[in-house]
Amino acid sequence: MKGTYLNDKFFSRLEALAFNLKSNLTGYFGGKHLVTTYGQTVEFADYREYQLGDDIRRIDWNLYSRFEKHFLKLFTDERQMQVQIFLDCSGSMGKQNPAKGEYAVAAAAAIGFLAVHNMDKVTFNLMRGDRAENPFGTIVGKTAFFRAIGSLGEAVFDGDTDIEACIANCADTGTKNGLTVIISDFFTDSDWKKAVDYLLYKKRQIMLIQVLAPDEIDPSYDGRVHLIDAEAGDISDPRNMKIKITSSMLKAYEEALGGLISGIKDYCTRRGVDFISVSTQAAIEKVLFGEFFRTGILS
Amino acid sequence: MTLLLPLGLLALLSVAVLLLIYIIRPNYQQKYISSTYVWKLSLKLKRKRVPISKLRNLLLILCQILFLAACGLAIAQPALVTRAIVSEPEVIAVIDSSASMRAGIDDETRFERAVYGAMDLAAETFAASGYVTVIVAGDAPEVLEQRITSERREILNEKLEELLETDSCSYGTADIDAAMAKCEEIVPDNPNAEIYLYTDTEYSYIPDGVECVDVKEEGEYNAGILDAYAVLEDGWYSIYVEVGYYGGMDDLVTLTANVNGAYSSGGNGVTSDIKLTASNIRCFRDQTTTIIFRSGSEEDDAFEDVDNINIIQIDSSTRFYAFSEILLSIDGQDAFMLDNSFSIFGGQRPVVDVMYVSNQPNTFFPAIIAALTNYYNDIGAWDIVLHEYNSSSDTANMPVSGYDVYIYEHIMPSVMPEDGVVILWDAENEFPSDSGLKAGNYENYIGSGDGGQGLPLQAEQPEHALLKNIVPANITVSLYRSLLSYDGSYDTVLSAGGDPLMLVKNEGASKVIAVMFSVHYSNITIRFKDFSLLFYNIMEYFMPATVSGNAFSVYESVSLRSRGSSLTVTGGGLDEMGTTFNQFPAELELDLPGTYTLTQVTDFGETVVEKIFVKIPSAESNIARVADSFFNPLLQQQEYEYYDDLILYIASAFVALLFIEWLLQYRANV
Repeated sequence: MKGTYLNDKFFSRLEALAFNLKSNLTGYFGGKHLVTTYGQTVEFADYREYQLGDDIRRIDWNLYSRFEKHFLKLFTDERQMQVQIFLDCSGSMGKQNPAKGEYAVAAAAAIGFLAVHNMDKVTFNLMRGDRAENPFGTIVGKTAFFRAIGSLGEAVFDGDTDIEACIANCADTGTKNGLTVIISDFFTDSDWKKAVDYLLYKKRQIMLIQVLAPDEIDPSYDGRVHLIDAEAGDISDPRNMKIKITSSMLKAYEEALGGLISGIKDYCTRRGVDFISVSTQAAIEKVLFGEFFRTGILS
Repeated sequence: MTLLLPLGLLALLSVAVLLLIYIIRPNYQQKYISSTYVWKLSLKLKRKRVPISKLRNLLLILCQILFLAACGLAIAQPALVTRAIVSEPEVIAVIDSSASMRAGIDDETRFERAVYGAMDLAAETFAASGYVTVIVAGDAPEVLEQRITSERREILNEKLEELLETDSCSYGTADIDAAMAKCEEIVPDNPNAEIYLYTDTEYSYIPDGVECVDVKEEGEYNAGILDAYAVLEDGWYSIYVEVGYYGGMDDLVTLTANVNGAYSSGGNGVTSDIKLTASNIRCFRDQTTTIIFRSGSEEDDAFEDVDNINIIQIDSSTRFYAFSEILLSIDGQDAFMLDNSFSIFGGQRPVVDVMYVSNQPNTFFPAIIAALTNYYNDIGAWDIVLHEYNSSSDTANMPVSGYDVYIYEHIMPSVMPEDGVVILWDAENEFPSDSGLKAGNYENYIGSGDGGQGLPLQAEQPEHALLKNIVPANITVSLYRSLLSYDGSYDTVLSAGGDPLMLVKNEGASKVIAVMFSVHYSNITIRFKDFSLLFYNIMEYFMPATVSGNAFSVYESVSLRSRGSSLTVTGGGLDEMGTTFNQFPAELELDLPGTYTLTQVTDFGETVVEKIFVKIPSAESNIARVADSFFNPLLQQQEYEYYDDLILYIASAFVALLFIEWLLQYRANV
């Protein structure tokens, strides 16, 4: 798959954006993300009384002269965030509809770019079967990012994916150190909610991005149809189905899809997880500057 | 329901076409999509919402099949057959005319009572403007009148009166089943018809719609001779009589046996009449008693432990070894007289004298005559007596008259006998000059390709009575004498190599068989079966027995044969002149019980008189008979048929199905 979104014009529009994290970060490396702990930056944060063991060099002697008590001057701290992007590479994401795959890759690339642009680390995990591949390692810096993006655009969408197994089997999901983005259509029997719960346990901020093709939102076919699933092995695969599509059937489809999306949305709301459902028909810029801003994850 | 146009059902074939369309209709169009996950969810949702959707397709095809079936039915024009019911009363009187219906007291028989009962029934029915049918149930049912109304009552009464006047009751059994089947034929449409059976038989089960009218009277009883026969025991005749007693109470019965033309031990060869009496024999109700007039040893205890057997010992001075007739009779006046007497014939078998002449006598001819003697003795047809002339003095003076059968072997008489059947077997010298035969040379045949088996005989007339059951090809000869000439009255029966070897002549008193080979040069005697059959066929061909027995049942058909050109039968139901038969075998219908006399003059001029006795069936002596049941006549309810067209209903169903089908289609496509 050759990406149509991944060009300079696309990335240049993202340079003014940055991630907002809802939770504190831990870690050793400094970055651009303000945390609630106090650090060594130049920006004043607060005072507190001196306690035994504190560095006496940080005592504010001006206050001592006024109150004859020792107060320490505290400064804010900024940490580097680790952004983990789990991209569903199953057949349903792009085998029959390449635009859907391109869209998903573009979204992943955009998030990745935002991360490296803000001096954060980013990891692309391609979910296939029950394993999450990390072909590019941890990417820091734009040079490494663009090198990785070149390969990411060639990603192949095939087979099926067990989201829960992929995330559970991932060697480094990180703990309290950043954002995890799962990009999928969530048309799966896999219990992805367990994976989300696991990431929440690891104190990761989570965002789910559901990518849907226009045909999936509003099927344009009807009559007697033998539907062949992109993830089906052969024609006799039980995932294939014969169906007579009538208006009532389309209505039922609409309700089922709506129920599926609202179900995900409810689940995410209860757990404080961000969720975006997008159509590939919508411009990706609209998603980035609309949906992402709406969730507050970008500023 | 009936179909006015059954061929219209061919339209039902469209159902098969419909099913075919369902089977071969186009497949689903294939569509590749990213995932069927949401479709499956929607399907579950829809099924949950409309649970009967699974049945919709089934209902649809069912509806379409019913629709086509309704079309087919409509084309076949279905109609309901409605039947009008006869409301008028209708009776069928079945009069049992079995022989037991002749029983009666006070000068009135049961049959007469039955006829009077039928008359009364007809009168009542006519008064109610009903229909009357009268059937007389004899050996075969006879419909006297069928479904007549009061307008023809006089005709019916005349016919019933005629029944009384002409003694129309039969002497045999009545086929009540056939009479009931006739009832079923006559009034199949009237459920109100009632069948009245006038009978003297008590039935354990009487079918619905039938009423049995018992025509018996109090005090009727019958002591009758069911069967009787004479048996030779130690050279003297014993008489066995089976007596049945029915109705009434146990009683004493006296049986008399008059033996006419008896050759008794004290008669010195002169015939006399003997009277034997069994007095006051106790007979039990509804049981049979055997009475034996016995000539054998008194010490014989064979019957000691047998019930209902009474042995009357015949005095040694009156015992007899031959008789012309035994007339048995039961004294007293019971209700049924037809079985009170019985005649036994056949106590004097005709004697057949057979002469055998040979200058080289062998055992084959005497042996076969002995076998025939035993056989004809056993069946009571003939007493055969063999006379052999074997010595040279005998052959020189061999008789040519006084015998019934002449067998000449090798040596031939000078003239042909004229009073019997002549068998000329292997003439060594010349045939009698008046025989019409002229012998030629001896022909010696030694088979070359068959191991010397001889020349097989060939049947010139395979259907000839002399060859019955014989396979001539199995009989071979190795030496025979040819015939120079024979007159045209002879028929060639067997031949070999083109030469006639057995000729037969049957013209009036001239009955000749000529055989042209010796038993010593043939296997015919080794094949004893063929030899026996040949002599049996000769006897049956030239000297057939007139009848096959001496006692028969009434209505039996008897085959008659004659040894002459005609046979006259008198007695029984025939007039005084009797009936003369000229073609044989003839069939004689025994319509009345009693004694029949058969008179014939043989071709040899001998007058032969034989008698047979015809009795009523033994079962008819039981005048208090009890039976299980009889054929159940099914009276169907139909008189007139009306056809109510069902097309309107079919059309309604048609429209309803059309609507349902449309509704289902609509729902399926929504």
